[in-house]
Amino acid sequence: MPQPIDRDEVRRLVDGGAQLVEVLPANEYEEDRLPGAINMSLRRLEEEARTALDRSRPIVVYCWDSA
Amino acid sequence: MTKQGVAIACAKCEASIDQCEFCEEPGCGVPICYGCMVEALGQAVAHPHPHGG
Amino acid sequence: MDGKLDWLAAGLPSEGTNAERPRAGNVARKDVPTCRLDERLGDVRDRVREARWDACVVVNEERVVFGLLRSPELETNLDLGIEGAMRPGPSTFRPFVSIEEMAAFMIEHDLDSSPITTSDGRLVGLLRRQDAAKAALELHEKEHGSHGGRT
Repeated sequence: MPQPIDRDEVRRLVDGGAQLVEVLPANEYEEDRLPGAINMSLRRLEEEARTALDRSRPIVVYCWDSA
Repeated sequence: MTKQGVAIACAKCEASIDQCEFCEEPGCGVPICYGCMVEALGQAVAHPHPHGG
Repeated sequence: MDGKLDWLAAGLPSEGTNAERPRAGNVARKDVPTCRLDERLGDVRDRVREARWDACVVVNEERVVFGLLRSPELETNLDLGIEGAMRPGPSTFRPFVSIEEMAAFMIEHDLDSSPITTSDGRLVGLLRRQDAAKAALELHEKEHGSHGGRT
């Protein structure tokens, strides 16, 4: 069940092995991204997540801002 | 309008401002308003690209 | 999570092509003297001089910036106290602002230094004009090659 978290929680989760996913377009991902984040298109997230992500670990999905 | 009563305008958009928002110094030769400043410095960039794949 | 913008604005580490370019947060001096509102101006001035600085950032216990004391403020009437002498609520800039932009602005506006803060208002460091200009020049030379005539 997705839930909003703040950046301190992101850091705690990542330290604990969570996977980071950026859903912005690839060119934005190339410019700036959180360390260790992988890039997945929002449109294909559901499809790609099945193969690219480990469902046994928390997954943090982020965008540009909270809007 | 500055404290001395002199009207100043943003050098970029010509909006009326009290002071330069970058240096906050009276008599700044290139006063800039807050909006133009954050945009120029990329401090408050609106989402640069549309969402989606 | 609030998003990538919030993360970058907090000065947290990032990866990518932009991460390799110096930004305000990288170049800002982290060792800038700081002081609290309840300190004596004279003590702060002495401490700043001893540290061979010419500026001090007024912060609270969480390093949230309240004001700035540059040379004119530090040399002012000691009876004023920190709050009376400081420049309250100075313009601050985020760590991810490009050093080229900051250098250009600081030179154009003849600004000696600018506090760099997170989106929470916490001090990251003080960016000095000479450091910004040097970093911008080095970046320019790295990306475009240094021009002839310099040895």
